[in-house]
Amino acid sequence: MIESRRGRKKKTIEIEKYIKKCCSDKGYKIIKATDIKRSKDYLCKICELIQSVAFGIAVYTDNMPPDTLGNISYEVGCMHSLGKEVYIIKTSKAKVPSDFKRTEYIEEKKLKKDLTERLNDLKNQANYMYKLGELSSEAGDLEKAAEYFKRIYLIMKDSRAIKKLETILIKINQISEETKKNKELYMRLAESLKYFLKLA
Amino acid sequence: MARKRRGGSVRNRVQALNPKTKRWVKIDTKKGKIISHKSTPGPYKRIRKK
Repeated sequence: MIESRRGRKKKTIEIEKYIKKCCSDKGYKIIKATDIKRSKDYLCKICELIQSVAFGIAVYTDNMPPDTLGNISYEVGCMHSLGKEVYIIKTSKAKVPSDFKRTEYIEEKKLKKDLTERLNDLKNQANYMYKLGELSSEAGDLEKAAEYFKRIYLIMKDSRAIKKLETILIKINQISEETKKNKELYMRLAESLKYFLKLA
Repeated sequence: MARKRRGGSVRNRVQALNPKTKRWVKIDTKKGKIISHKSTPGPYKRIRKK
């Protein structure tokens, strides 16, 4: 979850409570960057967290200071670039960057209903990604297929995705042994898959 | 004279419903890439569904 540390007013705490409830009802655990303590650079920590989550929730509230607004927008941008779903929640008077003007917001008033609907929709999206992953794998685009299956696992904790990733890893190892072309790329992909499977 | 019609479905293509846009997308099975996104509701004709 992406949120400002400063200016935690009553409304923000209320929104956070709703988010926690909706997510825990669907079996998702909320992760906040401020709750995790590491002896690393703060930005590095945020980037790592973004890579490890299934989706993100950004909260824009009234009178948010410009530096916080910038931070949240940067994090939303990071998530978009990784192809991850981001739900933007905003209060009625909150100002958001013009790039997100056409984005469908979750209004604070309809928060519970809308957020639950979107979380329900995640399962359908994962099924769609599974189909795309299978097609990419059959076509030999293993990198893309691995990316789809990783995202499916993060969303649904689906054991099918893990099996597919294991199959992809075997294929990658075979290819990297047989071919000299793009060997480094395959080895890097295999390393990242091994690490993912170890943590899963 | 009867009109000539294509027999069967198109090869190397499948379609799947994108739940986010609620539109069908056409996928090239040889490359594994999305090649087209339908602009109107309903599936493509003569394309196998995945």
